[in-house]
Amino acid sequence: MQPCPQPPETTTPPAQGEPLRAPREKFSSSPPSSCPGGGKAPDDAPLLEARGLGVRVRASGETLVSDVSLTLRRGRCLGVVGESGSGKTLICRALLGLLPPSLAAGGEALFQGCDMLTASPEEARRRRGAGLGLLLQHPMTAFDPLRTIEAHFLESLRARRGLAPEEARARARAGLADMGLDDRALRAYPHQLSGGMLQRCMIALTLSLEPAVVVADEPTTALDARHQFALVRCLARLRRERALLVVSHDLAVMQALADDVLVLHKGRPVESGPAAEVLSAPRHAVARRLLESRRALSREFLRLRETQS
Amino acid sequence: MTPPFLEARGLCKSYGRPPRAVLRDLELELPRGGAWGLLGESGCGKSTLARLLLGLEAPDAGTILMEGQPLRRWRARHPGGMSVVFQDYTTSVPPQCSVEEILAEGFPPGGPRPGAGDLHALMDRVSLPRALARKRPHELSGGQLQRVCIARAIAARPAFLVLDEAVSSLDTPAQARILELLRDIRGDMTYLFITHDIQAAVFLCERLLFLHQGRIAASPPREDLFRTTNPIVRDLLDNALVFEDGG
Repeated sequence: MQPCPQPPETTTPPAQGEPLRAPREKFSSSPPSSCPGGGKAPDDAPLLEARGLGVRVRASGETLVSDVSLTLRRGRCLGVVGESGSGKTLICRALLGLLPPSLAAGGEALFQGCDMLTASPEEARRRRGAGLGLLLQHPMTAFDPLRTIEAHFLESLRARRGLAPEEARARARAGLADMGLDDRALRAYPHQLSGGMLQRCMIALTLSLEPAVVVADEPTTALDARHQFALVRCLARLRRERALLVVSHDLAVMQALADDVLVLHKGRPVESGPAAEVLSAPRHAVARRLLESRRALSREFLRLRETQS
Repeated sequence: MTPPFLEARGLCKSYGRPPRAVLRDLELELPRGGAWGLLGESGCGKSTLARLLLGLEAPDAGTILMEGQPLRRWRARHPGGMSVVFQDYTTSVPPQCSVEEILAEGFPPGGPRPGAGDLHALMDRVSLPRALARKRPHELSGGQLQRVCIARAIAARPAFLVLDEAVSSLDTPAQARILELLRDIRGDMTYLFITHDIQAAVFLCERLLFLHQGRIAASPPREDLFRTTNPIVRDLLDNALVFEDGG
């Protein structure tokens, strides 16, 4: 096996918030005039790439995901949409080399040129630590219940960024503040926080590690509307200098973030293309169903806004 | 004068040490019937309020009256008169039980045992295929399992149904279907629909309650929602992630 190339350093601080306008402009995908990426030339090489990715159950051989190919470049956001059970989460886990032992992956999942499927567990862990961030759907399971949120920040920032406790604490505070949380969250144990608060802690922790690629699996599900909005803004900001893979069933999230969209159904890709096209005139029945249900949920809200404003 | 269906006066509730006040002198009055949306940020006390109104927890101070009677007495006189559907349908059902066993739990204890006809009628009401009667929770989709929870909650024909983030864990097609179902089966039930999603709230509810800093900060009717100047309401309206057609 070829040794994997070394990951480049990613030490770009996230840009700060900016005023928001109407939805598409709210989370505009165009890069800012002074990109806070540190003056690096835009790198068009894929940061994350899957070729013929598949997932099957080892014991039974049952195929859960097949034929997924995708490419993620710096400054782009790829949205993976599908209904519950369509295989979205499995793709995220496979891309990160985080499938449970009962499942086997096939094909290739290349992160900065290194195949996460064939890398040793140590190598995969090192790669993830150096540049791949994962935002999970269920924050309760992401934290050690016996340790405070602060302990999670200090250890992760020491191990992955070499930060001393004071520096790590300052970064933790800034990250939590971005998510609308204060020192009480820092001192809390996971069980003392609500699901939404824990989700925001996890997001702050992931972003504080400054990953080159963020894989976000239904990141807004556990959040209230206000923090969904804040998170989407945060991810939009992050996408400009990094790369983002967002998994969601909610086309409003996709509309706000994705440049390109891949639609999954029963573990197989059924449609893909530029977000503006897929979200306005989907061809596949699943994509149409997602669009129709999103419209149905928003219809009354939009009617009221129209008639009362 | 007929007393209100539900009346809460001066409700206070704190947790932790040192105590953190979640509800502060909260006042609430609901007439019978209709769907009420309860909105607010995560951690603002929506679920705490629901637990107090359901009698699952006692307030530190304040009173709750149902039709003019203390909550405990009302509940004793109306077995199955109030019910709840929680967000997490997977932990809301015993994993080893079949759908029909779970649904049977919803009928008032001490009453006649529900027969197959009762259970089938209940499944029909929430559009669950009868073929699922013998299935166990892990064999159902999230949307189907939440239908089971809703069916169990309405089995005893409650007057008051609390829906605590009951659609938040579902994907958008399932959310839309469950909200349509809830709209269709409401009849003369009074709903308290707890959500952070203002779009889901206006889909189902005629009136909205905004909980902020332990009190009801505003309670605009749906038809005046966007005319409200209350900053708490405006903030939620302005920060809703809306899918814009043609945007």
